[in-house]
Amino acid sequence: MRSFSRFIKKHLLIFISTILAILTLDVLLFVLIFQGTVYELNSSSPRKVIEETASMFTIQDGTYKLSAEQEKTLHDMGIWGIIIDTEGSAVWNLTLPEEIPHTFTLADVSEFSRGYIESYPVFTKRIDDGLLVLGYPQNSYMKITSNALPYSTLFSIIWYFIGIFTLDIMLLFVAYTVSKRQISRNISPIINSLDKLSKGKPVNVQSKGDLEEIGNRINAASDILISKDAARANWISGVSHDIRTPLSVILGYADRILHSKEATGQIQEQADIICKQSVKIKGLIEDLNLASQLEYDMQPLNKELFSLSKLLRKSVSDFINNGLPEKYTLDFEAETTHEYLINGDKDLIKRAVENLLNNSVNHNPDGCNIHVSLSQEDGKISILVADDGMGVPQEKLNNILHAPHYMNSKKSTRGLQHGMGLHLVKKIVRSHEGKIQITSGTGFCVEMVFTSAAIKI
Amino acid sequence: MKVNKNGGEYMDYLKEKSILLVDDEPEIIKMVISILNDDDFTNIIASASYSEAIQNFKKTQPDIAVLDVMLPDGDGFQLAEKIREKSDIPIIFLTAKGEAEDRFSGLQLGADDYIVKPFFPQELILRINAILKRCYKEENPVLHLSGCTVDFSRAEVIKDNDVYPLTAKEHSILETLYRNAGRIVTIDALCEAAWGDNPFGYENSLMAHIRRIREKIEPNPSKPISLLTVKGLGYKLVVPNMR
Repeated sequence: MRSFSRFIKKHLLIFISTILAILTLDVLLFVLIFQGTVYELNSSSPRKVIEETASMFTIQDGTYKLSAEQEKTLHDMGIWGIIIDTEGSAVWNLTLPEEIPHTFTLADVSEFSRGYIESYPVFTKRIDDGLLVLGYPQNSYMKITSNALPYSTLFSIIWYFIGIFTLDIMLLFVAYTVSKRQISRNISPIINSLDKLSKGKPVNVQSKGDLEEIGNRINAASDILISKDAARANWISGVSHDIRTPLSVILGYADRILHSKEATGQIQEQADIICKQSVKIKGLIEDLNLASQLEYDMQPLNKELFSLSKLLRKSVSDFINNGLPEKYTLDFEAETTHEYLINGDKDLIKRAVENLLNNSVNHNPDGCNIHVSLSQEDGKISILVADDGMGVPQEKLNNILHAPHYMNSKKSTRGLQHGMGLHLVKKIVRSHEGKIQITSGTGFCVEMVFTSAAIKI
Repeated sequence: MKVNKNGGEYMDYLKEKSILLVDDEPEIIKMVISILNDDDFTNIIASASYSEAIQNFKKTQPDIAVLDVMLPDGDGFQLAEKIREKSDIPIIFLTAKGEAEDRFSGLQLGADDYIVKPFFPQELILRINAILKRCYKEENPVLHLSGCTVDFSRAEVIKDNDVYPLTAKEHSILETLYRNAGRIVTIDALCEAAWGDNPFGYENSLMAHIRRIREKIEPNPSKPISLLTVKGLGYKLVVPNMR
């Protein structure tokens, strides 16, 4: 999600720089296009024409005379001219349209000097004591008759522009924020589900609108993931199911030979080996099946509140009752008289303890003393299963602690393997949000720590 | 009287019980029959399918049923339901379906036990015997221990020609131990037998009752030879002539 807001911020920067670039471009275009117009305005502006015209007059015999060249220029441009003397009567004129009068009052002069005579835009210039007036063709120029602007208005126009600009920016930001939030809202379920999916968990995205398609694709990917997991778990469960029946027959007959009076010592010994190995396979397929069910969340935990001391007494007693050879001793000690209840799956916890007991027996063929104990500290309750047997060398312990089990490894299984039994124990403890600690010096010791849910005193 | 390796001559009547065995795998049928024969059960009715089992059940009225779950023409759960409609005989599932769900549905149908293949022959025998003992206990006669005899039907202990009556609690504790003779019974299981479900804090009372039972059954109560303590776990009743 963090990377996503970074993504949005980056887009904000792009957005802002695009606006700046557009503004710069606008200014450039304006300058380029209007440069010509401005130049044109300068070369043939009415002010310039009238200045030129005024300088081309000569006075002959008390009357004004314009040079023929300038007269032609004015004529070509469709400009008429007139000179009004101090009395208000025209003393010179050029191609004067009919509707233009020949005398003007002071009021007339003050009126047209800023605007039009009969809708001809006119420009004036003082010449000696008179006034030179040039009339441009109708509709060629627009004259602003009221060109007075109060200073207050002028300032408020500046503020107006600044205000509009600020408002625009603010509106842009609001639009940006709203769209960002909308995108976030639409995208966040997708991002979250991708997050879950990358951890191998199934998802179901409920997105509507434009992103519905993406949501559907993610759901489809999740379905494929689930069905693959299910297929794998079902496959393991099917195989283990099919092995059970023939294994029953093997175990049954081997046990029968073992207890047969007719069998000799050597045959009984071999039958015993078949029995033990069959039991190993039995444990293995059960562990494999359970581990795969836990791994792919195929089997919900069957949680209930139960007393760990009761469960441990039962597990340990059952283990002894099922025939523990005399070279092993197994005892149980509760270091607390209170009864600690935990919320968990009874069968799974029992399975974990049994696996640890089996490990102690299987890895110490010459016998050992196994000690199971229950202790508590600060709301944590821990089960300790320890033996004083051969233990494991440091290197192998590291492997047990850190190497991934072959069930979770992409590499070939050589060199990675450690027992299925211990792997399942780890899985069970993890599924109960517990902690597991494995140590080995003389003997092998596993401590499982769970959170106690309630206490009976 | 013939002495039996699983708990003395008093169990002979149980060996005459008829067992309905249902499994579609002939090898399993053959093997289970030989295991049961080894333990002196002779009255075994084997069936390879659902329909055959129904027929055999009607014809022979067995005393206990051992059922597989997956059958070619139906499943063991349906079979158990069908049997339950007519009879209260104990039912044990013996199946390759080991998942917790299957176990729950089996036990929910009122099965007395659920054994997952592969199984130890001994485990099967012990469970069948335990269930038979529990279900047909009105016929329970006397328990012979080293140094005394316990008559459960009259709740009496006969030691050195003296008769000691057993209280109700002592009776249920001793009976539970006897049903699991030779095996460790946890203090929790004993408390449950004496005080009902989910007992708590009865450990000291249990110790008092055990002491009184020892005074009645042991030649020397401070050095018990029949009712042994297993430290931290529970108690064990040693019955002579057991394997």
